[in-house]
Amino acid sequence: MSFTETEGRRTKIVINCAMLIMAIYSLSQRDYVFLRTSYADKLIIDILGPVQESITSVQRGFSGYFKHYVANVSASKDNKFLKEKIFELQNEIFLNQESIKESTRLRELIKFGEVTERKKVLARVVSWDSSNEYKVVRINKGLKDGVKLQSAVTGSEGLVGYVYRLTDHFADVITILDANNRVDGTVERLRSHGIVEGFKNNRCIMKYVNRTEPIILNDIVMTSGLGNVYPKGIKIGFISKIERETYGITQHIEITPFVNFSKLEEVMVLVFEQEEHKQLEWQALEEQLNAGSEVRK
Amino acid sequence: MKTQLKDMFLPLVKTLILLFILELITTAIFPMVGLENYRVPFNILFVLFMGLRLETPYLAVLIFIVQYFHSFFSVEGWEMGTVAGIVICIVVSYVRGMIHFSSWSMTMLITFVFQIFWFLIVSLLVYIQLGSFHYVFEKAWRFIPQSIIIALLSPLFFFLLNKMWRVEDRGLMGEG
Repeated sequence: MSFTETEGRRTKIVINCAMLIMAIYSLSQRDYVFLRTSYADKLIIDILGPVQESITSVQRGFSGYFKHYVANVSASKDNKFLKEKIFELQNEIFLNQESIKESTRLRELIKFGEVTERKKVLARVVSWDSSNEYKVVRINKGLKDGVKLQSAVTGSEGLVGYVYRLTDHFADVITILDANNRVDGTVERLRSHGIVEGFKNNRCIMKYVNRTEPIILNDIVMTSGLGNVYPKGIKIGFISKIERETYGITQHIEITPFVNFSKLEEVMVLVFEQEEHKQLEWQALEEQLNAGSEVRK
Repeated sequence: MKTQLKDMFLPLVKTLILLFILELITTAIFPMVGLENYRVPFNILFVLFMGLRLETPYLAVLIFIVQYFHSFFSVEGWEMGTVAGIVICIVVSYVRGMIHFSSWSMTMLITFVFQIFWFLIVSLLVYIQLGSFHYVFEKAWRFIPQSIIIALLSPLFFFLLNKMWRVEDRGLMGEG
């Protein structure tokens, strides 16, 4: 197809307008809780994923070789320290096992709620998001491995985030460092609630905590279990900065996550295996709410 | 003005392959070597090249394809980049006569200036969505180093892309 200069300009204006309208409409319809994937997304991500995975593996192999064989100068000293630490932790485990038994007995006694089992899926981090703005990691497990959208993801040290985008073999996890991820958190020592959000310099911020709460540095923050995404009691991080201004009703609290995101390699996806009838109940409730809002309109 | 669709197919495929390699490096290698906070947004560089150097009625479609390809590597999506890219193309079409890629430094300067435009457009969209400037300020701090890197890389990538798209590149690398 070829155009004259004027026709070309006219076509350009029409295409520009059409694309702008399409982009702005799509932007306004975007869901920030999770991202729906099209067939094209699924196909391409599933093709790109293994390439990203193999590049990451090669890079890890090289840096692992360097770290474990070339730069390993204090191994003997570390070994001694770690042996002492193991002994210490074994004692702690014994004490904790006793506490668990006691807790189970007490839970049975007071019939403490219904604990929902979550299926655990072990996954490997294959890449990070290519944009600076989003703190998202891609893992090598997807729909075919039983992962679901909005499943909580943890590392060995604590909370990582939740599943935001899902394909058959890969999933994008929005981490707690991302400003779009909000977790209902509790300060372990005081049981004070707040919303934990991604902030800057690999830290999170805890919002809406009353300024009269006597929070101190190094207090541990964990998930409260509210919101149906994260299970209760997963460690998020420790409080590393507190600012109480003379005005306002809340305090500025910064949290350093327990998870070292720069060295994150393996994660665990906790899949909420909700019973079928409960899912139907949620759907019915959602439909009822939608119908109500339409009637009000 | 390039108006034949068949003329654009092969250069577009080559551009997407180059973008694919660069996105792989950015997503898989950079974070593993401790650069988890700073990534180089090569998609911006490619869209700027298209806006600045190509003259075709299908420019908006090309920008959309590059941004859609980028969205496979980022949850950012294709929308904001497409809006920013098209608006920049419209601005460029008015000032094209004044833009001369006479040297390396000029290429860097022009890329830097249009990145500021990009930042302003995206920030405006973010502000409309969130209703707060907090995130925009946050973004600005990351924008400074990333825009400098993009500007520094621009002569090399514009040279490569010129070859792919067979755009006359006299003066771009400073030889004009």
